[in-house]
Amino acid sequence: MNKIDFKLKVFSLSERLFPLVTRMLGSSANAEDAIQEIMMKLWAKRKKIANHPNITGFVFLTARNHCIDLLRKKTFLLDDSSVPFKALASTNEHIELEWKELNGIIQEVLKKLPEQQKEVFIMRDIDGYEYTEIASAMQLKVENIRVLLSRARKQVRIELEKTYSYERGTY
Amino acid sequence: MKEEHIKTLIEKYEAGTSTLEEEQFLFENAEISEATMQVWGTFVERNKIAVPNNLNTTLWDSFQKKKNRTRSVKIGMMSAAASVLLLISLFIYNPEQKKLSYNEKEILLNEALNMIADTAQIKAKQRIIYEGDLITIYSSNE
Repeated sequence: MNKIDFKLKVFSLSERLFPLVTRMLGSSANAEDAIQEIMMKLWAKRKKIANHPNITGFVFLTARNHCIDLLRKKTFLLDDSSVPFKALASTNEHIELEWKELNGIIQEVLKKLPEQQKEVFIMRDIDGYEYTEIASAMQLKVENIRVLLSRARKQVRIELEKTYSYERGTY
Repeated sequence: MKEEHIKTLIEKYEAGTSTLEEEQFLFENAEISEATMQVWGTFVERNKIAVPNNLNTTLWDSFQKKKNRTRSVKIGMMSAAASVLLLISLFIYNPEQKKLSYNEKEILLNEALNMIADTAQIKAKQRIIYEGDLITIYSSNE
């Protein structure tokens, strides 16, 4: 695999990896460095990658594993563990308050989900990854991803319905 | 019609069989009747991570710089390793031959002399060619 091939088939996935890596590491600055490191790793393995049947999948898997390694080593400081779900600034105060409340409720709901379900759910619904991409990153079959996703979505709906019917009752 | 469509989409969504486009449509178009979907849609929209503009290009530029740097570091390491290796090999393979001490040389020399001592005497013997009253002619290899 030469440089041009590498750029086209592997490096061009950097933008695609960005949400995943940012969410895992908790900040976009960390994410850019990490993607750089991931690409260096992949570049070193480029001869092997050239014959890989699923290059995109391999890149996703490498990226996720690299993030897990980084988190294990904690070579960098996490600014704030809640960074991935930091509320965006808004001009309207009322909407902002409502949003904060909603954000808090959903955070709680997500916390209750099993780790794997939560990861798949966030990767799909928020980050918008394809089933195949999630499957290769997590080393699972697409069918398993669908099942995990289905469970998580149903669970979230049930939880949200509970909270909202309760809230409506109090008004 | 639209409500019907959204309902089937939600069913697909909860079964984990919807496409990304369908999900996008759901998040954006959920009606009040699907309050939870609307809530979730808002959450999704506000938590999306924006990818910086031209990320691929900027990353590629710094990637190439880094790659070149590591290459020059590699070359540096290799040359350092090579010079160390050269020094070590010179140290192990000493080009100076083993030298004998004077004592050893003397012993060896004497031994050699002893070996040829007898023959030397024979050779040193004079072979008389002519012997007269006044003169004796002999050959010698001395």
